[in-house]
Amino acid sequence: MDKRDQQFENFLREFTPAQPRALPEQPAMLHEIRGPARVWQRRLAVAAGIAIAAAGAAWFASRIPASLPSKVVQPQSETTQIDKPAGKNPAALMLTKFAREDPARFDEALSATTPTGLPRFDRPNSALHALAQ
Amino acid sequence: MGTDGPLTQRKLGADDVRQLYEQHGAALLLYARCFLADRGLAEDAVHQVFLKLLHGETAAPETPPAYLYRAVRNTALNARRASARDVSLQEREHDRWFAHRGGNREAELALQQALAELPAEQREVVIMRIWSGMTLDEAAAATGVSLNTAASRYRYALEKLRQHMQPYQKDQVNARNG
Repeated sequence: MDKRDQQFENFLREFTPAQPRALPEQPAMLHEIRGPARVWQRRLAVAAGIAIAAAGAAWFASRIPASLPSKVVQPQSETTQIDKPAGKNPAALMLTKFAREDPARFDEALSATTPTGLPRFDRPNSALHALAQ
Repeated sequence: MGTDGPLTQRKLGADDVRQLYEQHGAALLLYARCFLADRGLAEDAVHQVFLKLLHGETAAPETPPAYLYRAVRNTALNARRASARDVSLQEREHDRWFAHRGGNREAELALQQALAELPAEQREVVIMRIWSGMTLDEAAAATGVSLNTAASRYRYALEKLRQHMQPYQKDQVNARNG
């Protein structure tokens, strides 16, 4: 190799290649670099599990009200009058007594208690309204 | 330079690996960047090779520089296949391969382009010889060719680089003289 080549080599050595980033210092960091896929796989599996559990809970919660029978909203007076057994109704007992002993008072008492003591069929939502028609 | 003795029948210690990294890391990055346009990918390829040595996954090679160049080349080629992108000169020019001692940015780019245009087999011998400080014997061993072939490739490469870089070398000589 002649002097000219050596000069050119020295000229080329004036150009320094860019340095790569430093190697990791700690073995833990090396492990982190070597196995990012495994670490992410684990994290992904845990996240998927949490998401599935949350979705399941939300679905279950949304199903509970739907599975229960819906209440029929009716006026309080109407339901109570219908549901009360006749034997425990004081008005019914009184009417029975009047019917046996005093028909005239029976008619008066019946007229007085009819609006509150008997089921009404003249309301639009009443079950008896349909039957009455 | 070029003093790496044979290290056989054992794993390389962390200090040995770090010393090799200090000595050859920059030249190996330059070598990897001949295959990979992305600097980050090239660095990853170099790191991957050194990390295997640090973890003892690879037995101590008989001639570490030769092993390093072979391993970096294979790793870089695999990465290039995986990325499925070819390397264009335009992409290379966006990224600096060299820093000139005198701060001549134009000369840096000229050398970068001249090196990229060399045939791969000539380019690798130049990088090994100039920036890794390997002897032609070591470069021949690293590339798996005879000493004569390596020397011939080196001469051709040097001549082509000289043609490209002559204006900048003259500028430098003129600046020194006056």
